[in-house]
Amino acid sequence: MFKNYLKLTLKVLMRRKMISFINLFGICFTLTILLAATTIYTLMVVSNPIQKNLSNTLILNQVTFRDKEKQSMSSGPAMPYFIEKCVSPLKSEVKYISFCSAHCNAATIYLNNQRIDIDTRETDENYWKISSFTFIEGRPYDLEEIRTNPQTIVLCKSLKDRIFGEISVLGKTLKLNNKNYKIIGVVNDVPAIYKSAYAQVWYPYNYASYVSQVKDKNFNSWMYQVQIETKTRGSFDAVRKHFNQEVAKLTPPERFKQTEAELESSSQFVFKSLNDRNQWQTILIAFILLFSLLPLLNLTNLTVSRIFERSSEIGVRKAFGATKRQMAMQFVYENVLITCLGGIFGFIGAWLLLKGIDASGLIQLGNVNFSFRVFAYGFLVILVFGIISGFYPALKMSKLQIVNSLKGGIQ
Amino acid sequence: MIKLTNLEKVYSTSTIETLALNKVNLHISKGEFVSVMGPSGCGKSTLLNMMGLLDIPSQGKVEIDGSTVEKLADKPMANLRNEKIGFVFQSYHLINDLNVVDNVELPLLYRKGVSGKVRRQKALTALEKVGLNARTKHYPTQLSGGQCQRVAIARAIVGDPEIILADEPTGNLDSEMGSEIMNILLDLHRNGTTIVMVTHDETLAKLTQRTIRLFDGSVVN
Ligand SMILES: Nc1ncnc2c1ncn2[C@@H]1O[C@H](COP(=O)(O)OP(=O)(O)OP(=O)(O)O)[C@@H](O)[C@H]1O
Ligand SMILES: [Mg+2]
Repeated sequence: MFKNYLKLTLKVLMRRKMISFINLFGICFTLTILLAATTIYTLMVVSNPIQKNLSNTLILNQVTFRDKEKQSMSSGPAMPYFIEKCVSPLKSEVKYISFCSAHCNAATIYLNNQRIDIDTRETDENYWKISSFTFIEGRPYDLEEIRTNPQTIVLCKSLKDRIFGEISVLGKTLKLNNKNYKIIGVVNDVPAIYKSAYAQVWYPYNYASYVSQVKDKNFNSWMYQVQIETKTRGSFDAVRKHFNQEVAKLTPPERFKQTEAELESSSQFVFKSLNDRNQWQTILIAFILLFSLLPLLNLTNLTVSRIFERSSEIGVRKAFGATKRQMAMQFVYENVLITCLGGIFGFIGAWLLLKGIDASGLIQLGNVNFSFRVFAYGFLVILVFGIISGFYPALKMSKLQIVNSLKGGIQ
Repeated sequence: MIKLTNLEKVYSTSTIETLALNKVNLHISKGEFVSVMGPSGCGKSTLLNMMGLLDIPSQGKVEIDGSTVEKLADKPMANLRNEKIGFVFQSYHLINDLNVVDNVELPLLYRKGVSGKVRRQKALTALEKVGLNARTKHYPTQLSGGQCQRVAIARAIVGDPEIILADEPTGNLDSEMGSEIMNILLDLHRNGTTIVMVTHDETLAKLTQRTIRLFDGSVVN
């Protein structure tokens, strides 16, 4: 029977070239979009070549102080006081604690009298352990260097090439915001979507300022995003519990009574930051999500109408002895086969798309390059839709009296 | 072989109710060749559809070869259609996506234990009987009305059914081709097939053993 279905499917595909093309294109397009979306999601939330353990990472992005009546509040990224009181006690239970500037700081360089705006980030020494930057030359700064404050920096490759060309730059100095820094390392560029890892120039946080700020309970210019790499994903609860206890113990600044802070998983962090954006960006994101759903709905619609269109065929087959089950199965098989064919094209399409994105440098795909797992999920989703969109109308049609199917079915 | 008792069929739409069959009692014995005649719209096709298990009656009983149809589940019903009945539709109802020989093979596809080779063999034999063995790879849209009708007949006889229900099988054929088809049916009749044929042609009706006349959904004598 299966061989017959296969033969029939190929015949139907060949006979209706236009519909077949649209159908296959739909599957291919859906897969491509799904694959691109899941790949980007994976890169931002689970793991990417630089942030390999994103899924094990907890992020503290915001601390809020409130008064008792919850009328006035003050919030921002964590200040040294908060980090020392609430985050440092977790040290023994986790792999790494790291902090860096919550957002990139803009800095300017003058090159041949031309102004270049660049993104910089202050970090601690563990920042280089939580993320796996690829050093083309040199190395990151360590705690000793941060303490003695030798004005060192790490540079990204494209900026280095632009300023110095294709030469080794270790030990050379770069004038940044009118201060001289010694270059101790060059790393491969980091795409901007890797939120906590991205910058063009990295330099140590100001240790002396940090130490003196520990006593200051108010938000000020020294505020940091904290990343905590836990030992396993399963230890999130325990780490959060301990953290919450420390937060409860904290003495908030005067006029405030309560402290609120949450350790977010990478997905919470990414999606919350999407929510924080202004309205039109939210609309844009919703639109993109909708857009990625459209081909799937379209595909379902196409399959359903393709079956309803063949109502008279269902009538004929039943008149000559096909059971309802056989009819439903015929269309399910047909859809599965078409989906598989579309899947092959989709695989090629998605691969080309991701290669294109990779080549454009917009997103560094690295080892997530082409995930079979992601492809399999996408394929599965389409298969499920294919089965439902074959099964449902076929079942509905096969319940019709044969004469009615012959006359054109459900009107 | 076929027994209809107090058969009634009402088609109801939102505006009107049509009584297509009115208290029809009929008994067609095994091996009988019966013709059905009557003016257009009197219910001939409806009657044949009931016999062919293509629609359910509003009232009354249909028995095929001793088994009461309404009591049957989907699978035995499908088997009954497959093994006992061959239907020739008034408007052919060929599957446009399949070529002639695949269309003819269709009933055998739903029969257990028939290999692809045997299927093809039987289909070609049936096509030869209706004089269409030169057109096996054509698609229905590439055939004339008469040729389509002959494909439909080949499909009805390919599975050697005990009953053939033919709704105007010669309606689109010239008298020469018509009598050829009639000869095929007479041949099948001689071999013991039960045949019910709707026709407008008195001369063809005379060749059958009995003519049932329908008027406004009722059998008249
Ligand atoms: N699906 C339907 N819905 C409503 N009325 C119907 C339906 N099918 C048939 N009828 C009506 O039932 C009556 C009998 O129709 P039927 O097709 O049996 O006629 P017929 O004798 O075969 O006519 P013809 O010789 O033109 O083929 C007609 O009045 C027709 O309008
Ligand atoms: Mg009719």
